[in-house]
Amino acid sequence: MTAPEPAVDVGSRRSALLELTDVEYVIGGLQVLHPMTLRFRAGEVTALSGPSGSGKTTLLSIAGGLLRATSGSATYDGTLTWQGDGDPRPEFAFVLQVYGLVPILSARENVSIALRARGVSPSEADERADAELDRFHIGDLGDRQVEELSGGQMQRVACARAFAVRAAVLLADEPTSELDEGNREHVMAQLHAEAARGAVVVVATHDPAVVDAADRHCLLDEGRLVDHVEPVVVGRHRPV
Amino acid sequence: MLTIRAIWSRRGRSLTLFLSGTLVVAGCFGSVAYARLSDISPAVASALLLLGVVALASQAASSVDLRRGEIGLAQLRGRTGPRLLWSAVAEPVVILLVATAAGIGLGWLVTDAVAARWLAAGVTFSPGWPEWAAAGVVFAVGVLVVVMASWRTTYETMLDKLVGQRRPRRARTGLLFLQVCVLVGAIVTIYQARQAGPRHIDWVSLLSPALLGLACGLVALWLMRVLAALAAKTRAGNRLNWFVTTRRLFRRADSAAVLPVMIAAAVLAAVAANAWVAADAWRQDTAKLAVGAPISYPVRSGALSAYTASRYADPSGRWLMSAAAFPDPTGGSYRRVFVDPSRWQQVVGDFYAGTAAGTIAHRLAAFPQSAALQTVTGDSVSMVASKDRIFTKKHDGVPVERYRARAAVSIFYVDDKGVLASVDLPPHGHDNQSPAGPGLVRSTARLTDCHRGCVLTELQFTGAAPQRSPMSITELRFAGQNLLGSGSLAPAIHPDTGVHVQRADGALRIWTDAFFSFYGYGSTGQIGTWPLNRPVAALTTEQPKLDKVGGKESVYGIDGSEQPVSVVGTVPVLPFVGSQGALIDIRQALVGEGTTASGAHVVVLARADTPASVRQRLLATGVVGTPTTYQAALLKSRQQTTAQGVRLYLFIALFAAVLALLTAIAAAADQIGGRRQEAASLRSVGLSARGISRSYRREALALAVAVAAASLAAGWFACRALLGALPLVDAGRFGLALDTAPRFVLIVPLAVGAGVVVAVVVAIAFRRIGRTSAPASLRQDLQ
Repeated sequence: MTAPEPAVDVGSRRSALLELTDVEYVIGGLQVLHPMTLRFRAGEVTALSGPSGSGKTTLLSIAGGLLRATSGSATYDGTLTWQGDGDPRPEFAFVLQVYGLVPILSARENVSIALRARGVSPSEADERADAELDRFHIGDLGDRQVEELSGGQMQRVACARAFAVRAAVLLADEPTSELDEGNREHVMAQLHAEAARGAVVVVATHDPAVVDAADRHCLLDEGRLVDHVEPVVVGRHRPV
Repeated sequence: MLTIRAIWSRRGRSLTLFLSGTLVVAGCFGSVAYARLSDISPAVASALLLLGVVALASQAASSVDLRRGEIGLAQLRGRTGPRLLWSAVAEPVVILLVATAAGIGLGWLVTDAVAARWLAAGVTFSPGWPEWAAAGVVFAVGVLVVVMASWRTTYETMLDKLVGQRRPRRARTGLLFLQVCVLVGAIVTIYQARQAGPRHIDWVSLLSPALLGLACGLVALWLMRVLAALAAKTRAGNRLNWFVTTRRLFRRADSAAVLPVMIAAAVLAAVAANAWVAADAWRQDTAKLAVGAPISYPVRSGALSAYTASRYADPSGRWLMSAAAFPDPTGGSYRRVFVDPSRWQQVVGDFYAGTAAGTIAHRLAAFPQSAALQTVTGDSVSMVASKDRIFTKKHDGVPVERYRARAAVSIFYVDDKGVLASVDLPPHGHDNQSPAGPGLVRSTARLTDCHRGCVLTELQFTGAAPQRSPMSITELRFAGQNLLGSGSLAPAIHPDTGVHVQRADGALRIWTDAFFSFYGYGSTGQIGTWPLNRPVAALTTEQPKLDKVGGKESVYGIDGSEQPVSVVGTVPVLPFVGSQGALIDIRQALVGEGTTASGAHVVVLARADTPASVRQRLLATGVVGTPTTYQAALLKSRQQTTAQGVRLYLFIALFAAVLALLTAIAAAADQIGGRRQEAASLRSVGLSARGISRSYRREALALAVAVAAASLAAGWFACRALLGALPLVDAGRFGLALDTAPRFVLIVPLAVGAGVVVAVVVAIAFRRIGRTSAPASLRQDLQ
């Protein structure tokens, strides 16, 4: 095991809500993540970038409570994100790299079920689902089974689902990989809107445009945090 | 080598395809072999072949579907034509080939074992061309399905083949056409089977249960999807706990794809089980009615011999009873059976309990309590009569005999051996005569074969006497019984004979009108006859009605002559008789009718626990042959071709059930990967693992209910529509009607069992998926 790296505060302007402390992940003898400490604050969009296999998805999974760190801890608002069974906490939402949509459900139902799981009534859940699909310009696809959608459409449904629940922490893994430029900018804008709402937003991406659009940037390579960039902000938030 | 490695890499799917192929080949091979050995049409295996083809087609197509990506890659590498097709079909074809070889071996072993167990001794099995052909057909059909599925896959777009995300597939025209064919085929084959009837059954008719099951399965599948779609629109269906279940049931065919095969197997099992129970009950009833009692001794010497032998060997009336069954002398199906009602309860008892003739015992109470038949035993007959009187005239001064007044009697009787015999008094030559009083003389003669009981049939007077000086018979003893003291002796002289008989003071006075016109023995007349032509008690079947002779209902008696009967009741079915005939009191019918018409089946019936001493005594009479038991008759009946056919149908149903189970397991196994992904997706948006497991349990329950309900309805309908059309028994002309009513006691457990099997397979397959499919598994590098 390597020595812990110095803590990096990637959101110094607000209090840190999502905190990874000395997080390390080893599986089958392979060191996927070396010990690192990161803090993500509400109101900011943080981009995680790095080459394939650098540990971005693993880091997001540990941060979101989907994976248990081999050592170290991930906490949100002082509470461990890992709940013991791999299920995320209700205040977390994900845009997964493989979308994670349920094939037997329609686009609307995929969004609606996330709301229903959080106790929203069926009628309200459906209304909000339609609104979220509209937000990503796929309102007309609500009745289509997701298997019938293209990759980009599915990705937007996944975004709509994650955004619909108004999560406190939004973790997006390559949310724009299948999107054209216009939609990519739109999704980034929505991510910033979520941050502006007060959410912690972390985006894993290969896309330099997304990195550029993020408030913070952490660069991973071979499981190590090799660089981080904090923009100079003078008295105001980045415009949405 | 590459193919073997590929088979190993998908060993789960390969194993189910191999097992299914083996099972279908073994079942078809064994069924055809057993059919050939039992002289049954091999077409009986067609139902299993159909189900096997459906199951193999689904599994082979699924096997090809798993390899769509590989087929796409092969195309990208430039493979085309036969090389591409071979690379696509090689894996399932090799599996089918090995399965066919294994199936032939298994079928051979099973047939050998079954033949030794169920077929007659000495029947050995060596495969013939029908068995090889059956195995070949299964293999060929399997390969055809694989080739067609692979060929279709090569024409799909490259994106569809290579994309990780599966696209939904719309029902193809070909599949819809096949489904319509199944529905139409079910209707046509049922109609054909009902029209043809059991005597003209063919392979089309034999397909009907399987086709009906498949058709009901398809209907159940469509109904379930419609109901799930409707439920999804309701408030309950929109609740989170039913949300996923309803959507899955109406959008994804994979979870319910097993319904047709499972329901078809349940229907086949229901028909086979009902057929077996109905046919075996019929065989038991028929064997009981045919044998009549637990033990039956054949008697060759007539009904009277059987009657007297049974009473001689068992005076108490507890163990033995005589019976005589006669076919319809007109060639019809009306049988008449003569039984001893006084011994029925003791000897037959509850032997018929539970059969169609089970209620017969109390109806026999309507028969006369005492026997009309009087048998006698002894070794001599004697008569005391007037001495011959000789009337003379002078001829040349010498008196010569002109007329002789005399009385003689011929006694006709049926002896112990059932033979009609007669004895004359006085005997020829006037031997054994001695004085018996003034003007009287006693004649005696030997009586043969009258040790256990003889029955008088007729007395004939022969002689002549003038009216002014009639002859007298004062005593007529037959085997110790004075017949003149019997009230049953009545003169029955035809007026034209000129004979007069007068009964006076216990004696008979006899004279003739034309004494002087005769010389010697002039006139003959009956002075006592049995029977007395009284109606005998009879129980008859409801149809047909008895003929009437002279205004009286009558049947042919034991000796074949018309016998008036007094019908004491009608019943649907009679022992020995079946559904058309009469059961008649032998004690009345034998009076004066000791001879037995030809074609009779005469028996002495015995209880199963008849003591050895009674049996020995019966055998010692010399009139009975080797006994037949009810068990032996039943065993013989179960060896009949139709019984083997029903047994084979059970055998086929068993194979179909195992095949359906394998299909259900294979279908569930195919879904596990997709379910894991689905469960992980649902957990990632906040559904609990427990909630997902509950959803799968509800789905299993819904499938189980659908299978059970459809199997119940289809099983009931199949039994009702088809049991009467299948060749289950050889009813023959006198046969009982086969009870083809569906037996819910069989159909319900089978239907519930099919539902439980589906529920258990689905529940076991998906039991842990909710818990073990963590959202973290939804990573591109793990897909």
